[in-house]
Amino acid sequence: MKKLLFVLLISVAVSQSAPAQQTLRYTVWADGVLNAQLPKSNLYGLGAGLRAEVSKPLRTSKSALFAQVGYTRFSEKAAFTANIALLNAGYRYQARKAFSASIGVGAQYWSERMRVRFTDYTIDETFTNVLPSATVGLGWRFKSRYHVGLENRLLVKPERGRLPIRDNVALSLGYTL
Amino acid sequence: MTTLKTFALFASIVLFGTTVYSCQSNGLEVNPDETIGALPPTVIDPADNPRTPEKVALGKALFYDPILSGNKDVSCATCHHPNLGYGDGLDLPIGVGGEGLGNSRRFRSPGVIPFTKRNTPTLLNVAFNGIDAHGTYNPVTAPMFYDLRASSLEAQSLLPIAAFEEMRGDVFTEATAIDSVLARLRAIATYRESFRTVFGGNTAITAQNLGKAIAAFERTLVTNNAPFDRYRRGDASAMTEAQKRGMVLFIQNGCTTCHSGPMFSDYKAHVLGVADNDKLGFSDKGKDNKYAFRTPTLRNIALTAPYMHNGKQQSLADVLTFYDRVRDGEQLNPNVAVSQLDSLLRPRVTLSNDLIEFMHALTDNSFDKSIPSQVPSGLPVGGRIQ
Ligand code: HEC
Ligand code: HEC
Repeated sequence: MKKLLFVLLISVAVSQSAPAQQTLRYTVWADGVLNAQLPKSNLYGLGAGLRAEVSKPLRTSKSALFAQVGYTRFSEKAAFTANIALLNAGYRYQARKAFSASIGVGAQYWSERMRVRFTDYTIDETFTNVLPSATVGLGWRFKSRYHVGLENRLLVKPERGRLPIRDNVALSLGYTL
Repeated sequence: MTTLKTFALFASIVLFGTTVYSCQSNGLEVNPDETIGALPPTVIDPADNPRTPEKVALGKALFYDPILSGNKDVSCATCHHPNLGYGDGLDLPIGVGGEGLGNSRRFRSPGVIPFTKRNTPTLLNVAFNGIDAHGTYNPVTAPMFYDLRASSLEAQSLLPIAAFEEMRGDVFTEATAIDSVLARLRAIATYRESFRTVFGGNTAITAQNLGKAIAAFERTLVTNNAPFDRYRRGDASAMTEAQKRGMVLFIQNGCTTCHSGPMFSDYKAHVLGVADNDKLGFSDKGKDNKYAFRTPTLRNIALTAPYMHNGKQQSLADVLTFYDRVRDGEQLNPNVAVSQLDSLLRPRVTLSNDLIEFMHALTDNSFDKSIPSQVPSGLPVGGRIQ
């Protein structure tokens, strides 16, 4: 059910950006992700991911709207691994020639595998959740097509009347096709 | 040129993807000696004290009967009350000379009788005291108390009766307390009858049998069906996701080096350096005067605040904050240097809701909460707790 919802969301986002105009720009990002919540809930350490971005410069051409789909994987830190599909749409402001700042909202689909090996038996479970997300980013562009980005991804997970927050930081390299 | 670039890009994406995906390990491996598991379905009784319904009923009557105390105002249930998880809800217990129950319990004339020096532990699952990570235990040598000074429930039961501030008061001396209480019991027809039925013979009201009857009742105070027990027996839906994450944190943070086995205790004494409780007026030096205290069970921990041997921590969040401060190298008790702290004490945790949620999964509220409507002495049931 949650999976379906997520696929639906992605399709809507992609179809929205689909009526391609000449001005659309395509960028690929490689992300190194840190679960900045250490040591608070040190279930995850480092992750890595890829994103594909479509952006449409606004008339001022100083800023742009963008939509991204992506995948992130948090590799094993003791018990947990996570495979994450993400969707993010937002606004990027090009401050000067090189520097930019962005904000975005979206959702991430988390499939978390938990494995704990007791002497008598092994627990192997997978939790799936869709977490709403908000991002704030800074970027630096060089040689017109290359980018370095630093992004903070805030995820909320409604749980029994509480809203625990997961905070991920991504350091990214981008290339505009 | 562009094709080459696109190809290079594509290739690096694939390489990157496979590298990331192949970062796999086999999950968190729990040390067999530090494992945590479900409680056994049944309790082992000592060979010389088999349980019968009559014996349990007698033990329960004695447990609630203030006739065992010098001033006839305190029973075991005064401090180990079912409404308070078989604890008393206080940081330090008020035994002799007190009135009321839980937070409203007060000394009738403050300053005359001192507080009992340690926080009241729950009696729930006390039948399993001493159980190790492999589920083995012996009820005859079962460790009791924060300083491990007594073995077996049978032996333990007589000690509060002779303790001045707990039950004895100044009516008897320590040496004569048990005999005086036995004489009182012999004067009550119902007790004469019950002891004879349970143990046989006309001289059945002895110290040994008094201990046995109370111990038999205590062995019925078992809660072995907490969400964690059901989860460990295979019901994946018994714990919430937060509790499962909390369980992983519990293991990862080394809590299981001491809170191990089905009772979440290694039944060993450790130096944690908890601050003294000023109410006491002196510093409790624990086992062998080394400030070591036995690891308490974490079973039903949500029902038994406040925490630690002297009730210094009000909530589970406070306990975690305590561990954080220890981790940060703070000295919390001026009498215990940081270098004296237990070497196993290396928690990495920071106050975490998941960890607290997990500790809530150790609660099984389905225990015997029934209170007898009267006790054989005719005294107020439970003592002066109204
Ligand atoms: C004034 C309060 C008070 C009364 C009354 C009292 N207790 Fe306790 N009980 C305590 C405290 C405090 C401790 C812990 C003492 C220590 O560890 O040094 C304790 C410990 C115990 C333990 C050991 C639990 C463990 O896990 O180590 C048992 C069993 C027990 N009590 C049973 C009884 C019985 C049976 C009676 C009645 C005969 C009784 N208590 C009366 C306060 C009380
Ligand atoms: C070095 C052994 C050790 C380690 C490691 C340890 N504990 Fe404890 N724990 C104890 C001892 C001993 C006490 C009792 C201390 C006292 O009363 O002075 C205690 C008390 C507690 C209590 C209060 C119990 C009560 O009934 O009063 C809680 C809750 C607790 N620990 C949780 C944890 C958690 C969570 C962790 C992991 C972050 C942890 N402990 C790690 C030994 C340990």
